[in-house]
Amino acid sequence: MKNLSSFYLRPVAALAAGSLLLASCESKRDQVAPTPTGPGTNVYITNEGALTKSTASVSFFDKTTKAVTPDIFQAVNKRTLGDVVQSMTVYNNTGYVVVNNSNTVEVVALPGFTSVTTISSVVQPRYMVTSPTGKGYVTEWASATAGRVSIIDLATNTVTGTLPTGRNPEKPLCYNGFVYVPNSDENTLTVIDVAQGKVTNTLTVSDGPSSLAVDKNGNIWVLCEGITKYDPNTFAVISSTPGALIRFAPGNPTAQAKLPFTTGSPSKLRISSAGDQLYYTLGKSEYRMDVTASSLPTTPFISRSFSALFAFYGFDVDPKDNTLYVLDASFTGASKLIRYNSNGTRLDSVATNVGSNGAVFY
Amino acid sequence: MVFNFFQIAFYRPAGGCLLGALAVLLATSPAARAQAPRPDTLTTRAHRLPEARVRAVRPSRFAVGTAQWAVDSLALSQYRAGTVADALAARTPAYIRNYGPGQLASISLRGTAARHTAVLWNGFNINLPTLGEADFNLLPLNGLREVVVQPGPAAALYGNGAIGGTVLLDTSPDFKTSRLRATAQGDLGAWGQRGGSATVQAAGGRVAVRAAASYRQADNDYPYLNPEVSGLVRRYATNAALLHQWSLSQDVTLRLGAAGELTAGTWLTDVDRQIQVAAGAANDHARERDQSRRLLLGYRQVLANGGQWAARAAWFEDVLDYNSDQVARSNSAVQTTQAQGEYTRPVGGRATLRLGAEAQHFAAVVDGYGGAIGENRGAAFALLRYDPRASLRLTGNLRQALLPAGLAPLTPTAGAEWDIFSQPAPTPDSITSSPSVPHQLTLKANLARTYRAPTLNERYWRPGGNPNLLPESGGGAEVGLRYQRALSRATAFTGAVTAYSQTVNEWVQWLPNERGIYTPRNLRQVRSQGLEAALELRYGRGRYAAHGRARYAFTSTQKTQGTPDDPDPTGQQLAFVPLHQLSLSLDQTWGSWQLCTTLGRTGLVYVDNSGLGYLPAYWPLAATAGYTLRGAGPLAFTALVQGSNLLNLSYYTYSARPAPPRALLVSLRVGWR
Repeated sequence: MKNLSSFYLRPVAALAAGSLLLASCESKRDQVAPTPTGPGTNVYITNEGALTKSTASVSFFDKTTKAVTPDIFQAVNKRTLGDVVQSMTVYNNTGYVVVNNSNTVEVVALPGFTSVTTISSVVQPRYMVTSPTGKGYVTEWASATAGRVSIIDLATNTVTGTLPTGRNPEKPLCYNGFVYVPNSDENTLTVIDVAQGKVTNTLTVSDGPSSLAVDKNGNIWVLCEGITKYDPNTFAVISSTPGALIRFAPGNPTAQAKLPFTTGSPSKLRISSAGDQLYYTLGKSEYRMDVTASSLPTTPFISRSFSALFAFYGFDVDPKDNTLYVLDASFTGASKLIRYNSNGTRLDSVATNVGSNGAVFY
Repeated sequence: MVFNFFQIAFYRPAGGCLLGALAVLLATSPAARAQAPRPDTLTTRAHRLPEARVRAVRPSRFAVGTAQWAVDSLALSQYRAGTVADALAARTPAYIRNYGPGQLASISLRGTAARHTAVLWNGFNINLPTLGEADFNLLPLNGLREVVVQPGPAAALYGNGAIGGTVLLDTSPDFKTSRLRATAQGDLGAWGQRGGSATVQAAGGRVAVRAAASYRQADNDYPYLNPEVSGLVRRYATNAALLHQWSLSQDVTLRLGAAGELTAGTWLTDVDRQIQVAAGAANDHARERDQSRRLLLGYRQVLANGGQWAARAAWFEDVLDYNSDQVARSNSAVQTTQAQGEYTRPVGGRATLRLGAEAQHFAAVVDGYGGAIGENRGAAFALLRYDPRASLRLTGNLRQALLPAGLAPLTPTAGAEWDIFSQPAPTPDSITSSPSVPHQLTLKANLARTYRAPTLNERYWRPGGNPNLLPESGGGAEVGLRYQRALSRATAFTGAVTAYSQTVNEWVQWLPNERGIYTPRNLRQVRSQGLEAALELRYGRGRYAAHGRARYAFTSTQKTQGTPDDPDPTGQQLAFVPLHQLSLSLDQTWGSWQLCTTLGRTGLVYVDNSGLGYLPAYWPLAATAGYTLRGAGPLAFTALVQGSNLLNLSYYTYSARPAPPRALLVSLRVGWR
């Protein structure tokens, strides 16, 4: 039997020993933490990752070298951001990464992305806006019946209070001492007085307000997506209202100019650094509109030939030079960042990470 | 179509007698059963046992040239408190995507998706018709006689979805058990696991009966270390309770006259579970109820010409109700009514021919479909096994399925096995576990085309269902060598190696369309190439017996082509396909003691198809120690202690799903005879 075991166990032992070497054949591709240079050259791409897999990430794009670090948070901090990064906001030299399905805001030092703290008392957070007075306002869907805003002291990174909003508050705007919160499952904006720290007004706009911009003339633009309701069981469309682009002067918010959309659901209102050109996404196209125009543009500014990627899942404008950052998202593999110059000429394209939805500049 | 229900096979001894008793020897021998695939025609029996009759021809008879990974009854007996997922993960190189204890567990064979593995219970496909895949944690092991994995495409034999492979579950009763045998077991384990199970089997005269029931529940509130801003923080698995899981299976075989056999079977499962929150994600209080009711009825008649025909019908009802904070309700109930008919006969003394057809009707009431839908599918097949001589075995199989949108791809299979050399066995004088040959080297080859019908969700989900979706199709070739050597009556060695290449065309993926609505589309071609190796050593001396196995799979799976709309890169290992997968097991018995040990290695897997994120490889080590106390009477008491993750490693079995730490499960079993 001794002979047997030595002869026949040898291949078994060899297989077992060989398997110890297997790890070396598997490519881990651990990312090296980048060393970003000073402000002005850094772009952070927020990536949702796959829902309930906690694979959300932020990709780092160096405008100088064009190099991409697919997950800078993981590379620097050796842990994942969590589940579904919705957005990121920069305040001075600090980044606030809103992690929707983790109910957290991850605070990182810029440009290196070293973790500072985690704010974890938010519920279904979406976007954050900051005031010059050092306050952050995080919109939260919170519940099916009402949303809310958490006020964050940016010096201590703690929540100092909450304010009620309408349903599904989205990307807010802070302008002239007021925070305008678009309630996307309603037709209202909740207006917060920064100095008083309370809600002072609720403005009626059109159905589905989701993003805002302020132009060179000090007018506020509200992009309303319209609201489509589905039967919870059959998923059949019960009702659908059209989108609209609305403009008002903050001093007289009830006097609104309304540019209605006939079809589709426009999203992601952005504005050029000079405050003269508006951008929004409709279907697989990006539209550009002068703030003085009296009607919506009829031809797209940029069209992406439709692919299985979510075309224009993210769109942002670099305030430094108006370079346009288009993100075509994939949820099974790397998304794509395609850059265009301000004339709409395609510059270049790089792979990012799973579910890219926006670009933040620092 | 698969008739392994009868656990029997045709047999043609060298003397020219067309019919005989074959499987008795093999059926008595877990060793032989564990070897894949067995050379039926080489097995000789000098005499017949009283119950020997014309056996049903197992479908595996037509699976010539393919590999099999069998989990035998001794191994299965350790996992009686567990599920098929536990046994497959520990005992085979199949990759199980396990979301946690009792949570969703789906399979990946040869780099394919879960929907590319057909799961057959006594010959009927039990994949959920809505999703086209099975959750192996919904399938308790108690009551199963055998679990066999046949990797590789085999639609001609096993039908829809046998692309990456097929999992065969068998609960058929056994005429060998002449007297009443019964067991009852209670289990108590870590993280609030408690359960129990019972089995009864008996056979006498014309009836064989088998019944099994099991129950378990678990809190699954185990701790894990989560990397957070302050360092590693101890967190607990949340919303992960298995509220209840019960299973009841009954099988009866009734012999009618000299030539008829009637079988009836049921398998009822009911699971109520919370859906575990991903580490780092908010609790959405998801909960899922899964109920399956499966009934089958079959009749087999032996004909005077040595042939036989069989007709079988089955009715399944699968309920899956899900709700969470985000999804108020998503309920589904699908009833599948199906019938199979086949005629098998010997041809010219050296061949067996089977002709058959099957039909399925699905009636689904699914919230996502917006109402009731119905769908019919059918298939016809011809299977031929031809052994020009004892050392050369050939099969040629063909299946044509008819789907609602038209004909599925024609799926032929050709297989061959050639014993390059074979030292004949001495005349066996008993039916102990000695292998039939002391020394044999076999060359195997198999060539197959295969298909998968679009699932009901893929066709009818609203919005997004795509009635124009083409069936996935594929094909593959494999070549293998198997070497067996018996060194003594209780000592034997088997080694096998298989190399394969296979392709899946029209690979389906759900992606957003122009309106942003997810819809399934035929997007790409995926190729898997790999190597599977198995070593098996059986040793016995006196009261000591040992059975060691090493099974390894190298799987390289990449997208090779895609439509312009396909966002995934080519040339990159697909997500959740480990390049290396290893399972080692050693089962030892010494008198009344048993010690079974398994060590696996699940290789690194990427979590996306671009290879950006990954889960590290892990090494789960588990062991079961047991002692059986036999008194003078018919009762025997067995105590089992089962330890999992014995190295207490921290690892993830799936994205954001940390594995439980080291845990113990204690079982007490009482056996009657």
